[in-house]
Amino acid sequence: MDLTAVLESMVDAVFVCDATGKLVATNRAGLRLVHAEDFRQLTARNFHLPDVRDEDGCLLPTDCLPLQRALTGEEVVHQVEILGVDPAVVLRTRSAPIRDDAGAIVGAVKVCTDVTREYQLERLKEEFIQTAAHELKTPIAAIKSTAEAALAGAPELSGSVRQLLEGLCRGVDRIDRLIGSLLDLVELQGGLLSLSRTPVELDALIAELVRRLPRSSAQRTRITASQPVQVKGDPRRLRQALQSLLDNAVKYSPRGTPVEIALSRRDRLAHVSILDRGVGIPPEQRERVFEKFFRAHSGTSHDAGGIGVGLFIAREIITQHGGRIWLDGAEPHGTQANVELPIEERA
Amino acid sequence: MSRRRVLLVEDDEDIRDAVAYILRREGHEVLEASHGGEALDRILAHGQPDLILLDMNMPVMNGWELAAELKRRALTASPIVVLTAAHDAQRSAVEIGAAGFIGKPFSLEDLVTLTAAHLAGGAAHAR
Repeated sequence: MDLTAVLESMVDAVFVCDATGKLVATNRAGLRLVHAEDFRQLTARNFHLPDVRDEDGCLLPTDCLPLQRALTGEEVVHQVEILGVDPAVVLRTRSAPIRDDAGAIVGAVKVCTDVTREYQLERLKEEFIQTAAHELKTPIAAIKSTAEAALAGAPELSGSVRQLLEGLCRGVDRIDRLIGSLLDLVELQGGLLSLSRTPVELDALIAELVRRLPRSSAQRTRITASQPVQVKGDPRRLRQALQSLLDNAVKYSPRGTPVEIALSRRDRLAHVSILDRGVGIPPEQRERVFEKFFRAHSGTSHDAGGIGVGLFIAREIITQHGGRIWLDGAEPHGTQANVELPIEERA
Repeated sequence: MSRRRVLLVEDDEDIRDAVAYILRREGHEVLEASHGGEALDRILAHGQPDLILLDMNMPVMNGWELAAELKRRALTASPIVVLTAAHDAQRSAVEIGAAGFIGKPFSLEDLVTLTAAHLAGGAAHAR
């Protein structure tokens, strides 16, 4: 079969340039994409592909254009390129060098898939999650504030009523954390989490986490070692990451078994370990649990619910603080979650 | 410390009730407003409070509009603490030059601590 006919019939646009970067061929889809009637008209306008923007809307400088990068030997895959504005065309492109028999680069080829529709749907989904989450936060705040006001306002409340109201507050906090996780996912999809950088007293943060546990969990959770350790980072995010680990330790170990938290320092690293005596996680799954939506005990009798994003987000947070997070097995059974963070020396 | 006056600007009545209740219990005088327009009326009628607790998304006049209006009228003596459900409460606070912020849903304990710190003055970095 004639390869030209194949090329012409492709739905994806194909652009080919020579070793100098000059455009030498395209197909029908390529011409359609840049609104040119024939190849002569395209080259007469003397452009590769004009005004290509990246996902943030920034113009790509010439030497960052995928075809130019391919000419240096690089294979550029999954590059998002945006052409024009209103209507913008969003392309997912793959570019690769073309080599002769001796291996010398004689040109480059780029294939462009129009993903405008998918892109718009993705944006719509993100906007929807953000709006819905935001709308949920106000009634949640109303429930929480009201329950707390009732708690604070009536010291004569009987113990059991007090416990019920405290349970209400914790339930609301859980909903709030779930909403927070959804928002974090949207934020992560768009790149990085926004982190503040302030000194954080890790020992105080851990003590507070334990203090705020529900009573039955607090009774079996012990801080076995601690010392003043200061790191630099986002206190809210660090609390969130450690909370995920602690929640999992409590959630996946039987009532009555201990959960032990230890904070130590090794050289310039702070090390937090959270040990539980639960069913444990098979070695081959200890990395996978950090994947988005992966849940180790899904569908088993150990399934404790959840949407499977807590550890994924925790790893993002710790990694962006320059630290490490991982799981070890514990003998005879159980899991030890570990976090390592660089220490900020006190001034 | 003499009785301090807090202006609470919040359109959600249930949140306003709970927050006002707890602040009064702490011994503060609390003026309530359900949007920026009412807040402005309270300030014009009673003078500038010792602290403004300000929700951002409200009908009639929102938090950004109230902050701009106060600036325009040179009524900038009261420190503002932003209360917001937005994921990036901090950004809203920076945008209007607020002294502090707290994200919804907050714990009343944290709110009381934050309020006390700002009423004591010089507590831009409380929390």
